[in-house]
Amino acid sequence: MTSHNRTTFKPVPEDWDRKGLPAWSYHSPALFELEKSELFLTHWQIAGHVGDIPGTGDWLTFDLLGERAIVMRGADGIVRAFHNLCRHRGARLVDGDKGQCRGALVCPFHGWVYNTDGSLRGASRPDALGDFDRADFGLNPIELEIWHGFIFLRFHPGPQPSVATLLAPFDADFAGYRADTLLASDGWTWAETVLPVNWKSVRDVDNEGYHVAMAHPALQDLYGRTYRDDNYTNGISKSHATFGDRPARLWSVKRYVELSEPAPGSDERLHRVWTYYGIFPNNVIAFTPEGAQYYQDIPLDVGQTRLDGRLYRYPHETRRMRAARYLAYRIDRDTSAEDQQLSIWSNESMTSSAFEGFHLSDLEYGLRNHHDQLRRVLPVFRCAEAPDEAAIAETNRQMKARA
Amino acid sequence: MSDPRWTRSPEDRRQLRRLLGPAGLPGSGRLRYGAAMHFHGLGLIDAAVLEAYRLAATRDEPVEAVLAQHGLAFRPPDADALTPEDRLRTLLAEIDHYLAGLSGPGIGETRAGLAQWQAGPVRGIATTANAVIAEWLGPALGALCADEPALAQAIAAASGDLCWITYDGYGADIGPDFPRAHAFASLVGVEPDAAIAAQDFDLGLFLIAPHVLYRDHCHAAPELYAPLTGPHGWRFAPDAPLALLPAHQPIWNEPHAPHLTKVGPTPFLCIYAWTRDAEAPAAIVPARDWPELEALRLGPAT
Repeated sequence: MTSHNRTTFKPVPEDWDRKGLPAWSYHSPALFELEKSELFLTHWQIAGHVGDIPGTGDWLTFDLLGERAIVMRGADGIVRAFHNLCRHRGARLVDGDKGQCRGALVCPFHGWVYNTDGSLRGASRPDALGDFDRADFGLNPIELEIWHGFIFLRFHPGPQPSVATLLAPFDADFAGYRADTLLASDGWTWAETVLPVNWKSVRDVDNEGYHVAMAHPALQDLYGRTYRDDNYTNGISKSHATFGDRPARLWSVKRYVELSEPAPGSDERLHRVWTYYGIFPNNVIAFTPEGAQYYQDIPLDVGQTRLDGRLYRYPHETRRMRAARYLAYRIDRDTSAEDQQLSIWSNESMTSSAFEGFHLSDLEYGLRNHHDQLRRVLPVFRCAEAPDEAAIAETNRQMKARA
Repeated sequence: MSDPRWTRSPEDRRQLRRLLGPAGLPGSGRLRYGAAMHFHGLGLIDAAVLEAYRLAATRDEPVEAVLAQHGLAFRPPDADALTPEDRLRTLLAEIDHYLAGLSGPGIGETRAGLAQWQAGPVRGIATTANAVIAEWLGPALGALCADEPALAQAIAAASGDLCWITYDGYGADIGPDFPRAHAFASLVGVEPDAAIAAQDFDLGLFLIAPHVLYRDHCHAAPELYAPLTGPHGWRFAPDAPLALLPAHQPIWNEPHAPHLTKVGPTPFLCIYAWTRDAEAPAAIVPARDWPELEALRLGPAT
């Protein structure tokens, strides 16, 4: 581990450049290609939690920009990740969001059979395959790290350290939340949405709390006055707010504050707090005292982003915890709808000739922190004017070499 | 007994269970084909027979028909190669698969407990004849077979290997019918007669004869009922009206929450789990309307 990739607290400077990223960077297909290869596929992505796949053979899938992963608990209980491609012709071995494989993965195309540890059990019509060593045809593994129960994947090696190192400042919080004990939520789930925006417009809205007082009446009612963003190196952040110190006015918030009940055994300092842990470039894990969720902005193309995530609960939750968790979900659902509209407006503003860039408040330093990390990974973000599309990759390469 | 080459390792046994699994159920052909691939790797199934399993998999049909079409003389090992442990582990796999398809409170806790304990050694348990099982398990499985044939077949195959207990620890307050009209078998649990030992977790099968009332009771253990038959009558507070709930709608009883079951015309068969405090006793919760409920006959299932 080198000192430069350790995550450390980063206070808001006295004097800083309050501009955001250049408008062109939200609409450039060539830059999006760079983001794909040098950002998304080389940085950690959350694929789920071990509580999603408690039994042997349980699997879930995670697709990202042409790559597709299957995360499966093997017959030996070990969770592994593989490319969801048969080594014969590339067919999907499993289809859907999650499921259970019973003893073997059988390719639906020609019937090659894989063990739950990814090794090839055998090929159909082996007599027709010539000189063939099945040991050479196991499923291609994907780098996987489980941190406090959350499953992180990385499709290609990248500049981030291990998840445990990257998120070390939050280790005590996740232990305090007993995050490794979470179970998949039942009854209600994340409402997957596709927005007609560049993924950074979603992140820009989510990376600051300056807008809470104006745009999110329920959140403001719950915790508005206490909201804080803490920024860290490596583009990491923690946002947190306490609730219950004064009467709420909105129905769902009032009921939530009355019913909120922490998970048994969780750290007392987290009992009246909502926290959000931002994990560069596009992931957030959020906790309330009753449960947790993660959400992420999955880019589909330069102008389309899928909002996705999963919800979790604690084992043996009481009816009261469940009711509070539902109310928290309602508050989040409204907040997400409000944020989605803000993302659309922010993204479309950047095609206007009148758009002159952001002028960020100290309360929006989270954007700057995220943008700084983007500039480190892809220096071409520093170009105020759009380079020629055909030259973006080369410009970035040269800037990176100079850096 | 069959050729011992088929059962040299625990993995061989696991695959043999799948190879000998019933045909005709959705997905069963792939299970058998995947197992056939295992034995092909061991040299026990040749390429032509393996291909017959692949062809049979497309329509989940018996491999024997395909073998005959192709003039192949292969005969898989007889079902008597399967031991009580094989039948128990097949049943646990079917139960986990069934639970994985349900959602609701308690499912995650139950599956996590099952995953934690089910790999333990199978104990030699004394099996005894049980009159309730002899009379009512067959009709219950007949009802289940229409919805969950694989699970029904797995229960039928393993039922003779289980220790079915008719519990008599409630005393007179449980009423006249229940003590002689129910039976349960612990598959993974704290009970000395559980087939696989666990700590502070208990999962098994529970059967009650038609029309019997299981009076209001409660216990410290949080409890999952996954009813495999239905509808049956339920309530969750003494003297409250009954609600008719269908098969396959799981019920999660929080610690100390009262609950009652009035069995309908079909025997009540369920998967039960106590996910913690599994050794704490249950207690009867008094109610005024037990005589009426015991006389009640719920209508036929529709």
